[in-house]
Amino acid sequence: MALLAALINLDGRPHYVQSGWFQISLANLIVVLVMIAVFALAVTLKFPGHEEPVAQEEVAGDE
Amino acid sequence: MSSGAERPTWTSHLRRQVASMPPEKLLPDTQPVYVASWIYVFGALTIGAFIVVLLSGAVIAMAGPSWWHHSSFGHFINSTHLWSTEFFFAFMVIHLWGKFFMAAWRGRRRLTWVTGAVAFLISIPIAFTGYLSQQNFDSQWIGGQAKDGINATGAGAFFNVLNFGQMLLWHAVLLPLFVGLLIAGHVILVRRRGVVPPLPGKGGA
Repeated sequence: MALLAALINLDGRPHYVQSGWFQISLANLIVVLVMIAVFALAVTLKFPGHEEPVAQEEVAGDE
Repeated sequence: MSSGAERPTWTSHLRRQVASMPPEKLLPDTQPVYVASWIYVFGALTIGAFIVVLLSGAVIAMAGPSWWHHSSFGHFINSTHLWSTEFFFAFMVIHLWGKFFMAAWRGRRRLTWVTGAVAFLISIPIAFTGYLSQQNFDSQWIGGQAKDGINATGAGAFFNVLNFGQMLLWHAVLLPLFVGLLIAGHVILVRRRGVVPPLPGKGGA
């Protein structure tokens, strides 16, 4: 954490990205972009350990 | 005394509702094949983050206002509360995006969608009242700015952002209670109606 704090000056003035009337802090923009990236990965990446279909019927084996 | 035909009372209605949700349906061991996807994970992650928010908030509440500024353990718990909230919102919004593009209100799941959406909307004032409860210059500045906006809506008479006690109770008791109940209802509805399947593909699957 100390290393991260050394890399990023948390005491400085915040940076903003502005386009016309639209303004967003750089920190918030990074969070939004990371969320979009996580969403895209969640939709595209294959879920591990479920190559074979999990049939609900297979569970009922007591009868 | 029991009779063959149940009278239409609220107790009989509640009994039928509870009986329709046996433990094996409430906590199933298996899910449909399509649930094996990362996009279906974010609802559970949201609940996990919410539990961490509640636990860290409970520690803060037990120690009383402002102690989190004066001890290293207080700083740690304060940061845990902040970052679990950040993750709570991030997971919840990704969950919302996934369900929106999946049209998750299909198949008699409208109420499931609505409870989730309302829980999201109520979570926003929980975060805002949290900013007002920080007990530092930041919260004073936010309160000073917010009062004008709230007063402009006419709600300032009964929702006073400069009243720390009122904001702390909204933040720590009332709003989390609403959201907790909504999340519980949301999960019960998911169990009752089932997890929404993906939209049919181009081939009409």
